[in-house]
Amino acid sequence: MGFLIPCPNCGLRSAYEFKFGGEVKNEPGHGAGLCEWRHYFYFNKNVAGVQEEWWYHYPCQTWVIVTRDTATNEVVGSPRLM
Amino acid sequence: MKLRLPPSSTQVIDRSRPLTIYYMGNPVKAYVGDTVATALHAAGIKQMATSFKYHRPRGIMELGVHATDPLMEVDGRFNTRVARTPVVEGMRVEPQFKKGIDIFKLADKASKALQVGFYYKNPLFYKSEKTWDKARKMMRTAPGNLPSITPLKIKPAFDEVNLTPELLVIGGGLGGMEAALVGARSGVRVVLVEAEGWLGGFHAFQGPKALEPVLHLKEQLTKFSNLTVLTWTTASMVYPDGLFVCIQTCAPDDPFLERSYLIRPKVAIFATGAMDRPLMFANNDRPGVMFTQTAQRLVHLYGLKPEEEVLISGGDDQIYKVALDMVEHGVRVVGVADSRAQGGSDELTSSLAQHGVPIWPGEVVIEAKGKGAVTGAIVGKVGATSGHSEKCKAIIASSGRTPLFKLIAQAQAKIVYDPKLGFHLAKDLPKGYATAGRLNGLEDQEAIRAQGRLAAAEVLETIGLETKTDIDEARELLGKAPSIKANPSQSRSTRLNGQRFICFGNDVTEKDVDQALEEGFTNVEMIKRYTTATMGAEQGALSQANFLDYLAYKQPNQMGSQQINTPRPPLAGVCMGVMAAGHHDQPKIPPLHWVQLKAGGKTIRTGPWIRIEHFGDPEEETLAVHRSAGLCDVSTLGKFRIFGPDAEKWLNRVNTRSIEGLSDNRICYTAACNEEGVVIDDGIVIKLGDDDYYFTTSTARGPATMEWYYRWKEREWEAWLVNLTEARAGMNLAGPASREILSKLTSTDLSNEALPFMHWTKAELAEVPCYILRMGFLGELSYEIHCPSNQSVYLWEKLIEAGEPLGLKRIGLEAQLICRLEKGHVLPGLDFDGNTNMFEAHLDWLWDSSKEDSIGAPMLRLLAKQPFRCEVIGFKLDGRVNLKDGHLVVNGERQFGYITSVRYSPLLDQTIGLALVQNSEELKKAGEIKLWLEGKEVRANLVKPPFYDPSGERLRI
Repeated sequence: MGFLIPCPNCGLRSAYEFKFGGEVKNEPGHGAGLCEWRHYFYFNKNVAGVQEEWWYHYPCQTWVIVTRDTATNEVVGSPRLM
Repeated sequence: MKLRLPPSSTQVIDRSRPLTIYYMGNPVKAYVGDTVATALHAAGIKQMATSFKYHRPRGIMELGVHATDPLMEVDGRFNTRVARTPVVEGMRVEPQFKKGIDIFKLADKASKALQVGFYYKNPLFYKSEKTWDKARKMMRTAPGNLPSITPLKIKPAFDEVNLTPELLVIGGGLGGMEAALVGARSGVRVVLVEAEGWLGGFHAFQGPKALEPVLHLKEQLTKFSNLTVLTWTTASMVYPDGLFVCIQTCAPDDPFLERSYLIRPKVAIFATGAMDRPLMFANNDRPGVMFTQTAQRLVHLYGLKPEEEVLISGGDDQIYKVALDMVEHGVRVVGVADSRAQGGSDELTSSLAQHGVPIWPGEVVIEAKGKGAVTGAIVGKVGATSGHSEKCKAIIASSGRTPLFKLIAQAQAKIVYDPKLGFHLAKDLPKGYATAGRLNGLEDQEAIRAQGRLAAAEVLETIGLETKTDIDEARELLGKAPSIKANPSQSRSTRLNGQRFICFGNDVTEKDVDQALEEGFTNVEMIKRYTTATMGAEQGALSQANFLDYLAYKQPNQMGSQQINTPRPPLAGVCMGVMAAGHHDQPKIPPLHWVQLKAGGKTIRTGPWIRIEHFGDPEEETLAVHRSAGLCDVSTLGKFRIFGPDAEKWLNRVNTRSIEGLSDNRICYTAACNEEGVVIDDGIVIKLGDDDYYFTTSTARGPATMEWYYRWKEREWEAWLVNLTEARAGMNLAGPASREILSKLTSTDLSNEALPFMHWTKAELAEVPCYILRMGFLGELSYEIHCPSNQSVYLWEKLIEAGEPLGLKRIGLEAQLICRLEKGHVLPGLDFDGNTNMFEAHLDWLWDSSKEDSIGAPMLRLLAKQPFRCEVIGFKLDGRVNLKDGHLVVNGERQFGYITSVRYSPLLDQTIGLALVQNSEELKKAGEIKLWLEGKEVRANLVKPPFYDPSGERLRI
């Protein structure tokens, strides 16, 4: 994990200071069944490309949503607070 | 034979700091600045190791960054690269080769028995399973020059540092230093890493005149505070996302043994230089055979003669320079064999001739003579099979140079063989990376320096920086430089008296490669794996050039492109310790640790905490809780304050119980689930005031609580969360005498009416401000006391003083576990797995389904109608049974689950426990479960917890 992640509070920091929180996914809507929920928990798109994902910065205790190209580990755009 | 030379300005050894190392117990004199290899060389030791397959004697051939061999045991660390290890006072060096009869050495004589792939071809090995097994064992232990692993007696310390300069320069030679200075002058942060302990690279060992620009640049480097120079630091790993890992051998006064620098620059320059390409001749691996750079390093850097008499062989002008260096330092040069028919320039030839050194144009060394070390050489015409015999103690030989591209290859550059030049060059560099100097084949000093400047200016421009470098001037200088000189052709003698080694690491000879080709191999990757060429410890650094060159020579159509194998990080072996560095174990100690330790407490490590397990007899401690009182330190519990207008909303979202309408003296016991409806924690919440709450979590979940809460906070909510885990201490006072004990220390009414079960109050205990929470985790009348950490020891001692006359005992974690088990109180991290939902855990009574959805509620609604995947059940057996957490719940061949908690309860004289099982309905029907203990099935009664005081009346007195 050689790349850097931009924290809105702290700037560009080593990825090792963060915890990965998974792809950003949309929760199933109201009234969804078990199957849909389980799909939400366990299935990931796993794109080889750009995706939005959750990262938690331990030093400042902030969750951020980061857009990263999983093929090159390049973080694109600006991070956004949840 | 004294090999040490008088001091000179180029030497890096410090004569004012002599020291002693020990080789096989014998003292060896050396100086600060020597490496173990040079120190042993000074002592006259020639054979320092044996080769992998044939156990041939080996000495110093290469001293630069790729000098993997010789490997020796240094201070108990085996496989230490002695050419890369600086000497330290008292170092103990041992060889790693076997003495006595060595069957592989004998095989060296009859190398046909150990031909390539011999283990597949000899039916002796593969005919029967038994012989194959024996042969396999023999081969695994055979190499004999590698020792077995024994743990070190000392525990070395390793460090990790993160750096984010704009510019990283790898290589501190002329090109690298120029590049670093351009960066420094532009104002950005620059890091320069150099594998040696000294700067200057190649030009540091060409003599005093060549050293002048080195000294000048070195001085410039010191003028910039934004430039960090790291010596003894090898850039070892480059990763595609821009991470460089550089490993530093620390100085003796550094508290750490090695340090890893994790460097994430914006742009980087590779100025890693070039090393000699080995000359091919029979027995080209003997101790005494060394490269031209090696001889020069010995003379100029370490003040050591390579030998008293040397013979030099090569095919470029550099060999004349080397010969002159030798002669000027009193080394007798027996002769110089120049493979070029026309020899060197008149100038070079005449200056050497003036010293009376014979020069043999059109000739090359074709064989080294001598068994344990070089005693002479056969020099013949290029291509000949015989020649004249010369006496010498060292053969200084090379066939041109090999640029050190292994690192930039890791950085995804394309490494392409240039057939005109005869070596590989890096092309198609990734954006922001550039190369400079001898790595690109340059040899002219001015050209190298100009290219360094140019490269830095170019990469810095890619990040929008204008440097104050005259780019045009640098380009002009580069343009005027002499054209890059090609390597000489490799020597192709067909002399058969002795092996010509392509790969010194795995003892692979030209003959072995011939054999692979004869057997029909046509792919370079296959030939490499079949012969194991380039796969030894040096990983191709010394062998790949000749391996590819020989294949191209034998099969120009198929292998003329000389495509290299993909070098992968690390550049050379890295010890596991330095990769783990930065993850120092930092245990946490609660504030009441020392006072408990003094009273005889025994510690136990639980996660990051060091806790007190017991004070000698945990079972006695549980009896104290039931009869009088016990005092337990629970300071490790997570403790948090959450406040603000939206604090209630926040609490209600994360917790399953409703906080709405919580009165200011009631305790709310609640659980928290994740989105899947799985129980992740339980704890209590109390209301301190308007919009002001205080809650606890289990010890294990404490650290993750902030992260979990923040994950579910709406951005616009006005509320704040403060972690008070370390700021406040916690103590559990449990037992029928608790109230009486507490009342001695406070005037606050603690009667059953004033402070009922599951209620709390602020109070001063011995004038210490506390929250007193009346709960019942341990069973019996009990109070959890929270006070400021810095007053906890005082309060603890006051409680002991007040309680001891009434039978109060200190209790530890173990007693706590037994007592809570008697009450059937589950510990989320222990008694469930990561998939146990609220219903399966029998904690669904903690879910207020009528309130707005908390995390996990949608799933809980669906799970309410689902059958259980697993269930927490209770069981008991009479008396003391040796069951442990983790023992299996079985029935014949079938496995139902496992015990999550089991203990002997002295109060009940029963062994009680909880288990997590599947197909629980089946077990419930039977009313009993079977446990697998020490090879037998043991029966236990199924019991619905709690095991003691089921109505809870003892909690409510």
